Amino acid sequence: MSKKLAMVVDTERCIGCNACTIECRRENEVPFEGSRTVIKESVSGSFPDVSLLIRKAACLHCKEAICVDVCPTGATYQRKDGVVVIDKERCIGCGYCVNACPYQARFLEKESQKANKCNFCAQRLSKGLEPICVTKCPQSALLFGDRDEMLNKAKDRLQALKAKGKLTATLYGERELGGQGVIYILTDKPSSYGLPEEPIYPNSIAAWQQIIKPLGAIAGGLTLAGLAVSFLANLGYQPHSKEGGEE
Amino acid sequence: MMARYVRNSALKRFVHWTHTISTLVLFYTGLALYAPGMNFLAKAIGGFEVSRLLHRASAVAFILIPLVVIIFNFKGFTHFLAEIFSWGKNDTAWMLKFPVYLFKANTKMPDFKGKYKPGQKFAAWLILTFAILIALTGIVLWGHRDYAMFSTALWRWSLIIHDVSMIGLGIMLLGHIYLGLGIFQPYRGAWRFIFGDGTVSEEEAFYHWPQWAEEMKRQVRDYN
Repeated sequence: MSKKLAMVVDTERCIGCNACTIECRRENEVPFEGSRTVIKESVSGSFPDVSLLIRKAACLHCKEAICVDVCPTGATYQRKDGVVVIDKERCIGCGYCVNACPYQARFLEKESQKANKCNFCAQRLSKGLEPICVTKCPQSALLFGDRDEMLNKAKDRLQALKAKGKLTATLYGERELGGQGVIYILTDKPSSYGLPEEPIYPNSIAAWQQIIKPLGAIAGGLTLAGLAVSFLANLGYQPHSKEGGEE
Repeated sequence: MMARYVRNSALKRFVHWTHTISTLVLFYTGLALYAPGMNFLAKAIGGFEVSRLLHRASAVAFILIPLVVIIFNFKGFTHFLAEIFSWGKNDTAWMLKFPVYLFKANTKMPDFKGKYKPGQKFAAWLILTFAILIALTGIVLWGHRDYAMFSTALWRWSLIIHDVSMIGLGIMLLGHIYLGLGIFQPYRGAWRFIFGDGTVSEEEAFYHWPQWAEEMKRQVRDYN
């Protein structure tokens, strides 16, 4: 198995300064109508015991990537290193991936009508650089590298947080949807951050792609074959002749 | 001179013509999305933008033309529904024997009543059902892509039902084309009944729908 890449997002360190979102927009020339990454804030707890939860949201690069499976042209695909990317040449703007993503991590560009989302700055990865958000984060809240290594760092950090008394701290992305390319260190339960607690790969989508569509093609082929046999079996039949069955 | 009976009115033929064209365009442009291996269909006509535009334009015709005709000729529509939903024991016997007839055209088929063969009625049920499902789910797909109007779950089920109905309608359509165009030898020349002037000769009427022909003959006699 080839090496997987992953990003650690430490929400405990993040101050929501938006350096990442601004640098991302500049680096990737993201059009105004959408964003590849946004800072999501939510308030947890009830007065007086409240806390502000801040999360850098973007594509999580799911291993069981629903967006990849719904794409009718193969424009969205997963690289060997786990990064989910879009081939703009092949994207036709059907919007299936935008609607299928459980994290609302994608949008359709108004001008080009093509899907857009975080690709870990693939153009930088190919030069041996880290995603721009990681480089520019002033809090070192973002880490990037080999997934196993990132997972170990996230686990160490989780232990440290728990030792400091943050007992509700948890990881997200380690196992969700087959294991994701973003591993969140959260100080509260995922739903408080607006993350689905147990994201599911819809069985209906799997059945549609892997069973219904192939069966449909087979059924269509069999119908054509059956009609061809019917045609050949009745060659030479005269519709209005006396031997005709309906006379 | 042999009598000719009106089988399909000008209005019916108009709806059938428009649905023939729109359905074929919808299938062609839709199949381009069925699998990456089918994308060439869209590329052959100038790309997916053209393909999408054609799919949507045909969809409007596919839905609106029959809808308007049904609204303004509701009586005719209920009459048609009454015809296709009349069903007796003979119809079941006919239908069960039809697969044999399909491969052995000189099979003696059971008698049946009414304007349509049991097979025509059976096909009408399925085609109507699939067409309505395709139209409704298509509206959801269009609305949700452009305006995010519906829930993700409804969108997802619409996508799946749209495809399932397409497969069902596609299979019905293959049969409909084979039989209706008269590629099936016993029905040779049948395409003229709907694509021509809508009339059938007395001989053809008695050959295809004996009871209906009898009824038509009686009406003509009474009129004279």
